[in-house]
Amino acid sequence: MIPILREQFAEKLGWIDEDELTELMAIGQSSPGAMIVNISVLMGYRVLGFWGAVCALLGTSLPAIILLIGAYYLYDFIRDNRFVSAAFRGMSAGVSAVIADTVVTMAMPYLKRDQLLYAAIMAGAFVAAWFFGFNVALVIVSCGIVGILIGIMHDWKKKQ
Amino acid sequence: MIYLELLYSFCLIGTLAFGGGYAVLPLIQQQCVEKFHWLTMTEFSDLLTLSQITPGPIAINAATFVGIKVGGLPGSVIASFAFMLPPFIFVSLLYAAYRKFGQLNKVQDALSGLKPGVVGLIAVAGFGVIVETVWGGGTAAPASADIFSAVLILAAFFALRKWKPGVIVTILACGAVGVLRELLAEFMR
Repeated sequence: MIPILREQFAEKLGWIDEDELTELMAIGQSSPGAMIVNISVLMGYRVLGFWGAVCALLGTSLPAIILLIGAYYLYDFIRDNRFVSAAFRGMSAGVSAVIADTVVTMAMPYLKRDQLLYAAIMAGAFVAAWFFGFNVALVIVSCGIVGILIGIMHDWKKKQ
Repeated sequence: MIYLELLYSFCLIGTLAFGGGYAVLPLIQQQCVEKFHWLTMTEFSDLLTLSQITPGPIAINAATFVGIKVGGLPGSVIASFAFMLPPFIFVSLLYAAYRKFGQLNKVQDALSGLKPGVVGLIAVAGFGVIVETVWGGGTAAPASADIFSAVLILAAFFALRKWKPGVIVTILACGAVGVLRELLAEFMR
């Protein structure tokens, strides 16, 4: 998706230069929600202000919403069929593997000696949610606060 | 009433969905399966399958799916836009702050703590899906395990790590294996 954005907006339409696109991508990744929608919204702001952002939001989300509504009705209609439900069982094994693969890939950068603090956050979040059943929202907010505290600690060390 | 619950639930999910596509899985599981009981674990894993094999961000796909299931067409629109509203506001504020100050240090700090935490939470949601696939929502006792699904998960995981065949190819291939097995069972009888 990112290469498509780059080609369309930076190269073809010339609305934005590469450096600015990289900056918008950083902001988009720092926000919650779907990154691709966020970046499109930022592009909308950049090109046309608020209404540009609204148009970008609708433009990137409506096709996904409409397609999924179609897929849902199809799913609802055929899922009781023996072979379809066998396919879904198989696919859910595939999805399990994809999530496991994603988790391993995402965890890798934290499993290094200089990332110990962040590896501890990762393990802590896992233990809190899996073994103690802590509320997911609470865990996310706590991790953010710990991140800010680590940042303050780094700043303080630098000043010393 | 159901619309208000959808609105509340997906605004909350949208507010906290930091850290990429899969970050919404633990939130959706907590809100839609555990809190409001809109989905069973089987439906949750069907939702993931549908989100993966249709284009568009998983988070929006998931919101649309849950919305349509519990509130019909209006529900799907409400859930999808409720999910997108908080990120839209957040992006707008960040953009304004960025234009004014040119940097986002505190936000970046918070994110550097959030991201590893979210990985841990995605692992929890992933375990939930694996347990559901292998044990079908029953107790995780070795005796009741579905060996076929367990082997399929391991094979797919191995293939993903080794050859990186892509998400959709992997999922569809697993679906095809599931159908083949059902066909074989048909012939055996």
